[in-house]
Order: sequence, then structure tokens, then C-alpha cells
Amino acid sequence: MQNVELKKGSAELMILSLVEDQPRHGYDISKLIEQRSAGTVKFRVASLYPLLYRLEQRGWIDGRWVEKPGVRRRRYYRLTKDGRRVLAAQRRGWQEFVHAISRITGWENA
Amino acid sequence: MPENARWKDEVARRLASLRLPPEREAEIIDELAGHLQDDFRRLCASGVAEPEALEIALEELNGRPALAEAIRRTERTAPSTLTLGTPKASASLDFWRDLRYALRSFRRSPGFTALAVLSLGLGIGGNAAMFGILNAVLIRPLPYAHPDRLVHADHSGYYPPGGVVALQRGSRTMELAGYTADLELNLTGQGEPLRITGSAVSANLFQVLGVGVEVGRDFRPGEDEAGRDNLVILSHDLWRERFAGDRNIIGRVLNLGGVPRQVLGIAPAGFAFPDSRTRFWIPLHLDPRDSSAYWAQGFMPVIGRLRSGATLSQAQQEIASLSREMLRQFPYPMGKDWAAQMTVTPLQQFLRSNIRLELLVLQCALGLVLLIACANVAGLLLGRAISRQKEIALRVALGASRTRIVRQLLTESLVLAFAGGSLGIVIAFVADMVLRTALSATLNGGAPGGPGWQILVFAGVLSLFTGLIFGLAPALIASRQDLAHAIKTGGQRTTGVARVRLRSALIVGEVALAVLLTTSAGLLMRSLWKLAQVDPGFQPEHLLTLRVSPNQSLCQRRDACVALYDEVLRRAREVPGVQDAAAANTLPLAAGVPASAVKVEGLPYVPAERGAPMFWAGAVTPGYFRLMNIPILQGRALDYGDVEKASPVVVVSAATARRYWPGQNPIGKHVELVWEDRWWTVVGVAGDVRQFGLAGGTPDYIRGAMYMSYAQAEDTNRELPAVMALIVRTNGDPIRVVSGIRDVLWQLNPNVPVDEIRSMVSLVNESTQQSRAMMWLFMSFAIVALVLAAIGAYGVVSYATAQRTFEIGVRMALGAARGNIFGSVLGQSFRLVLVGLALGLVSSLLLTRLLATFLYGTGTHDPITLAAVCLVLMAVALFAGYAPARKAVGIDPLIALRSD
Repeated sequence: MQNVELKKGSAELMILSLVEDQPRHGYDISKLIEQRSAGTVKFRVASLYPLLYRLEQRGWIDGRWVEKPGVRRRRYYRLTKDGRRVLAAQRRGWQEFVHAISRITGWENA
Repeated sequence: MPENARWKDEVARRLASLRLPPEREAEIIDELAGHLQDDFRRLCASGVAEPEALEIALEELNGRPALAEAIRRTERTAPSTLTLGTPKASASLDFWRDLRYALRSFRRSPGFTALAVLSLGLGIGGNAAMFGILNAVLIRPLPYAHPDRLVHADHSGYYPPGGVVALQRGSRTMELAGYTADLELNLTGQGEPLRITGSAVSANLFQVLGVGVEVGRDFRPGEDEAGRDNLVILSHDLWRERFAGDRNIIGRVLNLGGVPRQVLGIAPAGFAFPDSRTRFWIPLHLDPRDSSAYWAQGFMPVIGRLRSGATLSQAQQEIASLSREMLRQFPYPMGKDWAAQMTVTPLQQFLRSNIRLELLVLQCALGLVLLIACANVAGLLLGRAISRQKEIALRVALGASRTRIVRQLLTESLVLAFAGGSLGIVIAFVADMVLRTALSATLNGGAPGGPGWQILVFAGVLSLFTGLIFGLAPALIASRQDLAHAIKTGGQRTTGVARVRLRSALIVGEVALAVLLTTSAGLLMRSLWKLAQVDPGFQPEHLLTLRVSPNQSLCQRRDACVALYDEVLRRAREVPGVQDAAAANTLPLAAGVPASAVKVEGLPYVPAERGAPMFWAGAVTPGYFRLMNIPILQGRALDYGDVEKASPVVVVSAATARRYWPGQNPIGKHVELVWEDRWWTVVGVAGDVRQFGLAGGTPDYIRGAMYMSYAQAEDTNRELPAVMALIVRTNGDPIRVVSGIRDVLWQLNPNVPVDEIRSMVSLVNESTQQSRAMMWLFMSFAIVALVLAAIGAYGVVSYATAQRTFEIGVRMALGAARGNIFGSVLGQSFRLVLVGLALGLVSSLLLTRLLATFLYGTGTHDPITLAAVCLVLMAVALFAGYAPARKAVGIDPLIALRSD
């Protein structure tokens, strides 16, 4: 469940958050998610990239090929203006959701 | 370690089934393979064995849904294949996507694209070229200082030299100058004798125009007075061509018209006043002591520059009152209304007034052609939009907003317009040449400069506008979709009422405009046909004419001139191939108006009321009437007995005899030249000749026509005309005798220029050149319009028939006769065309009035022309309906019923 339902709802939020401050390439994004969740959340190539492409199509992120000498070219994604608005809205929604869950399950008082 | 290629292979294998566009596929493979390679390297670096690292990395490509499926879901709707409604995407990105999409879809339908681009190119190109000419002639300001302050005396505002001086002295509002047009003089002593056109002008003419000379100096005040006037300013072209641009020419003396004149200056390049043929300017020869020359001869036009603070209306009032005061100064009585009509108009308006209407009418006609082209392309686009209903509906269903769809369809029409505009620019440069050639008679060098940047700008703006105009309506209508219906039926049988109506309306409009143009072309054709039927009053066949231009000074001794022409004619008759020869001071159908004011016996002469009538006054050698085959209706022709010493006689035209002596015998009546005191006896009446043009065109101040014997003749300057047209009748082709005749003249006097060598037939043709040019232009517009309308109507009918395949199948299955089916499809075509025809005829009746001035012998409501137009349009309807009707009859009910 954690890997399917939860991920589906939060995957977009995670990716948008990661490219908020600086452009990142796909491998970087997948490793960061893995590291920061201490291995709990892990994207495979087969699901990460289709998601990136979808976000790009919606105009929330913008991908660009960047070539540096001696390194193979990589595609960097950065947050667009629209993406920034979406991220803010999703963050708020997520916080409310987590808050609500906490109250219901009583974790708040624990 | 596996190469990067290995990773690429792995990814590519998994994506192969998707058949993505190659470019997009390569990008995805590159990105994913890079990821796998990074992963693999990291694993290896952290100590994992290679085979194991390979397995872990490849595991990344597995998932649920599988990689291919997940990518397919996103890519299926990717904008690079199909533009979706993604309002979040930036507008410029949308534009490029739309553009790529449009280009691709045009590549898929080359026939449609070619037709649309070609019709737009023709429309835009023609209009741009016409605008270029219109701009050069009517809009671009005259090339003089403050051209808006320049005015021209108008309404037969011609003044004698004394009148010009009186105006110059009397005017407070204007600085005025007189000038003569079409002054032709011989330039001799500089190689081959040259007959050149120039102008005799007031000394201040250059100052009034605000133009300086390039080399030397301009005339000074008083240099137009007799005795100080042996000066000349040369045009830049003449200076270049004849004197190789030599600056030392200033101060040298040239022999111009037999008079030595000192070269004062060279006019700047491009300066040509009063018209483009002007090669020199000499001062007027003002001599108040010679009162007849000062007040009765050489009437000339006058231009002026408004002084600062003066207005046009002040100038108009002033010139009328100055002209009234001037009446008293004439040594002979002038008609009262002469002064009453005097006024001034802005110079540009005056110079262009004669060609303004023609150019505007042509521009309007070309505008109609463009409108038809637009309607045609709009129809085509609409048809396309209808057949793409399903695609559009799907995109709307997938979330594309209406604006988004309209924007994409508009992009398509703008791409078309841009392509049409580019082609139009090419066509414009060709059309510019065609129009200039066709209108050369009208423009008379009045549109300097070839096509300029204005044409480019105009074509650009025009294509942008047309793209928006013809694209907007189809886009709006196509975007208004009944989603469910369109998707369900696949857009096959949904003939949306609005769409078909609009398309039909476009065709009806197109047909109506085509009718308007066809009617105009028809009227012009009929008018030309009528002109061809006109009897010019003489027989032009086998006649050769050339102009012989000795200096006027030769005729100071009349007998020298008479003897010269006697000898010319005698020798010309001896040239092999020549039957007969004669000379005349002007040729029929030519623009020259040798006119004299005459008193007519029996007509009360009340100068203060109306002045003396002006007669066209020919000076012809004996044998002229026989040579030209002009019939002598009464009395006799002029003959060798009518020499200077004999009593003066004239032959009058039949119309003149009817006008002044109705019901009486004109033979023995008399006329008198106003400046003389002797009667000229009428000895014969000749058939009427079209002296001014086939269509008539006699100036309204010319009240009659008379022929004088050359030996007795006097022109308006009371001199024997020196410049004469030599006319010879030949056995065969007139052009064959040219060299023989030239030799004769050369032997007699090598200093006499001979030019304007033409056959009389070509002269007759030239006189209808303007009418023919108009007709051909309108005819080509009409043909383009008809073809476009026919194609448009064909498109609508065949589309509608295709839509009705099912219905027709049902009817045929139920036993409908093939004839009925055929008739119903053809009927649709005829309905479209007939409605257009009716609208077109109504607008023709209203609008062809503009053409009235270009028509001869036919009204604008000519029933024969209108009937012919109806027939042509029936042919169009038949063309548009026949093929679809045949196809409809050929429908197999079984197949038709299964097809849907």
C-alpha cells in the first residue's frame, strides 16, 4: 500500500519539492527521494520518468538538456511558475490531510 | 563494463512497440539509459559485483504498469504529436507546436494547400502591385518643397503671356508662374538632329516649385522678357546622354529650334516638370509691344505657391477676381464666363485627376479578386475543419479549451496567409511590370520608380489581415462542437447546419463578386467591340505616317516652306512602292489640337456674350482627301490652285455645315479668323473624321472643323506650320517604304529630324490602347474570379454529395430514378450559382456605373452583356455540379448502406 496508493498521491508533491530550489536531473531526484526517506520510498525508472514527463506536459516542470565538458548530457528539470503555485496548493492540502489523519488516529495525543 | 549503447538497447527494446516519433524516442532512450548507467556505476563503485549490479540496474526498468505502458500513457497525448488543450503551457510554446502541426497537416494535403496559397498569392500580389502604382501616382507627395502649398489654375485656366504677368503682379496670396507643355524643338549642331520636348516657363518657375539647379544657375527675374531670353536649362538626362555630363557645358551656346541659346544650368536628376518627357526649359518670350502675341497667343497653364498665411480659398477668390479684371486688358473680347470659372486646386490633385478614377477602379476590382480568394480559402478551410470534426472533438474531450482550438486553427490560416503573401510578393513584382505596361498610356511616365518597399509592407499587412479574416469564422464555427455526436459518428454524417450554411454563403458571395467582375469585363469588351465598329472617317490601311520637323524659322518665308513640302511630296511619290503622298499639320486620332477662333457667317458675333467659336483647323496639301479616302460630300476638295495669292478657301466638315448652316447650302458661305480681316470661302464639305480619338473625345470648346490649303494656312501663331506629318499610301506593307522615304528627306535636308514613324493602322490601334488595357485587365480578373468561384462551388457540392451518400443509397434502394438523383445534385449547384448570380447582377447594376467613363457606345445596363454573363455562370454551375452528380448516380445502394 505504501508503495502504491500513498506514492501515487504524494509522488508529484515530492518531485515538485525537490526541484523547487534548484534544477535536478532524474537520477539525482530518485537518489534524493531514496536517501531522504531512508530507503522507505523508492522510485524505479519505469515509474519515475513517466511521472516526470507528465508533470512536464502539464507545464509544472520544465526539462532541459544540459551538456558539460567530459560528462554525458543530462536532462535537468526545474519548477515553472505554474508548478510553484501547484506545489504551494499541494503542500497545504497535504498538511491538512496529515493533520486530519493524526487527529483521527490519535497520534497527536500520543 | 557495458557500454552506454548496451543500456540504450535495453531501453529501446522495451519502447519499440510504442512507435514514438523517432526524435522523441531518442530523447527518452538517452535519458533513461543515462540513469541506468549512473546507477550501475554507483553500484560497482560501492563494491557490488558487475553481473549483480547489472541485474539490479535492469530491475529498474520493470514496474507496474510496465515501462512501455507508462510511457505510452503520457506520450499518447504528448503535444509533439497532437496539440492538446494545455492551458498551463506557455503561449509561445503553443504557437510553435501549432506551427509545426499546421505545416505537417499541409504537407499531407498538397492539393488543398497549393490551391489556397495560389489563390491568396494572386489576390495579394495583384493588390500589392496596384497599390505600389497607386501610391507612386496618387499618394506619394510631389517631389517639390512643401508640395501641399502648390496650386494649379483650373477649369480651362489657361492664360496668355500677358495674363500670366498680370496675375504675377496682382496676386497677394500666391507666387505664380506660367509654363507651356509639349513644346517641341530641334536640337541641331550636336550630331544627329534631335527633336526634344521641353517647356517655356516664367523665370520664377523653379523658385515656385522650390527646386534648385544641380549645376550652373536658375533663371533670374526678367530673363523671360524678349531680348534677354536666349537661355536654356537642360534636364539631367539630356545632359548625361547628349553631353556626357560635361560641366563645361555651362555658358556654351546650343542651337535649339533654330535659335542660339546659352546653357544656364542643369536641372537635378529626376526633376521633370510638367511631365516626364520634359528635357529642357527655356524662358517665356514676353513682349508687351507685340500685343497679339502677348494677349492672343500661346495660352498656357499656371501654377502657384501659396504665400505663407494664405489659404486655398483666399487664393481661389483672388484668382477669380484678378481674371475678371483681366477681361478689360484683352485686345479682343473674351467670353464673360471665361473669368467666372477660374479657380485654383491643389497641384497634386490637378496633375493626377485624369488617371485617378482609372487607378481606383482597378484597385477596387483587384480588391474584389482578393475578397474572392479569401472567401475561397475560408470555404476550403471550413471544409477541412468539418472533415476534422472528430479530431477536434477528441481534443475538446481531452480538455482543450475553445480558445485553444480557435488559436490552432487560426495559426493554420495565418501559415497559409504567410505562404500566400510570400508568393504574392513574387507575383507583385511580375504584376507591377504587367500593370505598368498595360497602363503605360494612362500613366505617361507619371509613376516613377519600380516596385518599392511599400509593396512588401503592403503585401505583409494584407496577408496578416486576410489570414485573420478568412481564418476566424471557420475556426469559431469548427470549435463549436457537439462533442458526443461528433465522436460517436466519427464526424461522418454530421453536416452541422451552421457550417454548411456558412460555406454556401461564402460560395454565393464569391459567385456574386465574380459576376460583378465578369459583367465589368463584359461591358468593357462590348465597348471595345463597338469602338472597333466605329468608322474613323478615313481608310487607315496601307498608310505610313512620319513626322517631319524643320525649325519654325524655315517658314518665316512661306514660299520656302511650301516649296520644301512640294519637293518632299514629289520625291516621295517616286519611291518604289509608294502610290501617293500628302502632308497635314496633324493626324486624325492624334491628341494634337490645332485650333483657331473663327467668326462664322450668319452667326451673330457678340464677343462679350460667348466669344468666337473655336474650330479644329487642319492645314493639308492638295490630294489629302483622296489619299485618306475622306469623301467630299459637296463642292470640291482643296487643289493646287489654292495658293497663297489666290483667295482663301476652306473645306468644312459635314457636322460643321449642319451646325452652322442647317438646311442651307454651305458652299459659298464664309468664315473669318478672329485676328484677321478677310473672309475664307467654303468651297467644299468633307465627311466627318474622328480627329481626337475613335470614341469621339472632341474637347467641348471645339465647335467645328475646317481644312485650309497648306499654301494658305495659318496656325494660332499666325504662321505657316513648319512641322508636318507626311502620309504616304503604299502598295503593300507600309513599313517597307520607310527607308526610301527617310532617304528622300535626308537628301533634301540632313538637319531636319524625322520621327514618329508609324503605320496609320497602328495609330488607330493606339487610340484604343487604354480601352484594350482596361478590358484585358478586367478580363483576367474575371477569369481568376470565375475559376475560383467554380472551384469553390464544386467543393461545396461534392462535399455535400459525399455527406448524402447514405441518403442517396436509401433513395436508390427504394427505387428513385437515377435521373432524379442526378438532377437533385446538379440542382444544388445551380441553386448556389443562381443566388450568387442574382446578387451579383443587382450589385453590377449599381456598381458598374463607376465604369461609365471607360465605356463607349454601350450603357452600363447592356442587356446583351448581362445575358452573356448569365450564360457563363450557367456553365460554371454545370462545371461545379456535373462531376458530383455523375458520382452520385454511380453510388451502389448496397455499398452505401453498409458504409455507415
